[in-house]
Amino acid sequence: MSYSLTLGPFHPAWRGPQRFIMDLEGETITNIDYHSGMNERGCADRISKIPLSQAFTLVPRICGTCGHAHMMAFCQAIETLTNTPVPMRAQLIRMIVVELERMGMNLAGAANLCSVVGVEHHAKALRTLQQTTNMLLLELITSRSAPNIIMPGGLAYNPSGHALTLIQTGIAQLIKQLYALIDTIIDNRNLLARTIEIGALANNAVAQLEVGGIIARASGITRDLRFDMPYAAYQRLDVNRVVQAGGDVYARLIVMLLESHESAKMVEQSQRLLKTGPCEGDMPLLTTGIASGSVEAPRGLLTYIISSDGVRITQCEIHMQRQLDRLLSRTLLLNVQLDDLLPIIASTDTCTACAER
Amino acid sequence: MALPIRVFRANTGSCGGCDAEIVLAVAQAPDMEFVSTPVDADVWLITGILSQYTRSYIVQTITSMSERPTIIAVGQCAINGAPFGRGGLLDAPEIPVKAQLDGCPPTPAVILAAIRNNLKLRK
Repeated sequence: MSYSLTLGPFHPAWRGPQRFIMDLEGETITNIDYHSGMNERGCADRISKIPLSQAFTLVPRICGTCGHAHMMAFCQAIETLTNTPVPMRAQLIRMIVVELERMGMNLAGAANLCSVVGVEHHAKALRTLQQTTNMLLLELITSRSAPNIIMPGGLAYNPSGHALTLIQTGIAQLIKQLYALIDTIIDNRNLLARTIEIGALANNAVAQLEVGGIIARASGITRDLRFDMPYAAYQRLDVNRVVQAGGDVYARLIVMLLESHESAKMVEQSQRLLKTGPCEGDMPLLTTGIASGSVEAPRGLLTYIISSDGVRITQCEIHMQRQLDRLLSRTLLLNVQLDDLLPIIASTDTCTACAER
Repeated sequence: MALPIRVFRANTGSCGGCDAEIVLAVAQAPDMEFVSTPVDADVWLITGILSQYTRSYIVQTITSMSERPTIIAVGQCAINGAPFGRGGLLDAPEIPVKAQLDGCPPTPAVILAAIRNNLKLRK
């Protein structure tokens, strides 16, 4: 029996609006049409039209789950343009902020995937850890609605010793809890049955499609800017690159979980390397020219390219590596069983806010 | 035992921050659950600036429903489009909003309180 089925644009299994229009033959998806572009807000264009001070409010809000990564890339571009040095203390605190953010996003993605495949108790445990991570991050950024902590040349303010101590004790506990939880998740039979060899993406397909982030690293691609061309103070840390070879939903889940664990270790190590000293940045005096800044955001390489006439930013481009789109959705979802559709989509953990901006 | 409150989350062009808070809020509320189709929902939580495409989708869905759900705008950009400089429910008077939750993003506790205070269960 042939029929059509539409999913989206809104669904609990994914973050932002995306629509899947499918043709099915029995339980098998025979054709799929992916519709995106519903989260387009024209942010890059707006950055060049507003004063720089307002850009610092807009940039971290381009993505609510990896806004600090956006701010870091934007600030790196400005620092390159204005030749502004960043003190080591500020670099380390920036890394604590973005790695806590990455940890929260990966835990949320893993929780969502566990929820979709029906292992709700693991989803609940992961969300509890996500909330703890968010609370630790909140100790640093002080308020959800406050201006961003990352500024060109350093930080908006020097975090209190009390906040850093709380993070130090909190992250040590979190590492233990996360390790124990990962240990129970990785061999859960129900989870294995729903994720192993489901939605597999071959290594060469990932390379050809130039996919980044967790999807690439779950298919054996080792590319990660934090290790390949270390920025901030990543070269000072001793952590492992997380790569899985399977390419399936299970591999993507494992990458999300292990990256959370590695992020927690990075936070702990950064904390240990912290020394007292100045770290405040300031609103920069722009110079004429073009510059770029790149970071490894939770869902792939994120690059800001800015042009300035010396007074204001005249042009801004934001590039994010490919996430789920028309081509990748056809590669991943054609000829799969309808039952496997939601776990596959959830495993890509597509961030439409970053992808469409 | 009472039926759970059925929540439909519509990200109409948000950064995803409010959506993350909504997921955390509903996950910790034993009396609530997400539904994937708008017609099954008791409460719609709208986040984001209401981009052109999503706005027409929301309006068409609402007008086609005989019994309207409780609609709550979550977050500053759903209310007036800030900081993206456009959109929001201010520009869409045809969407009947019961409550507006300011904040960037509102906390899970505020979201849960708003759902419970403004809920009118559908038959």
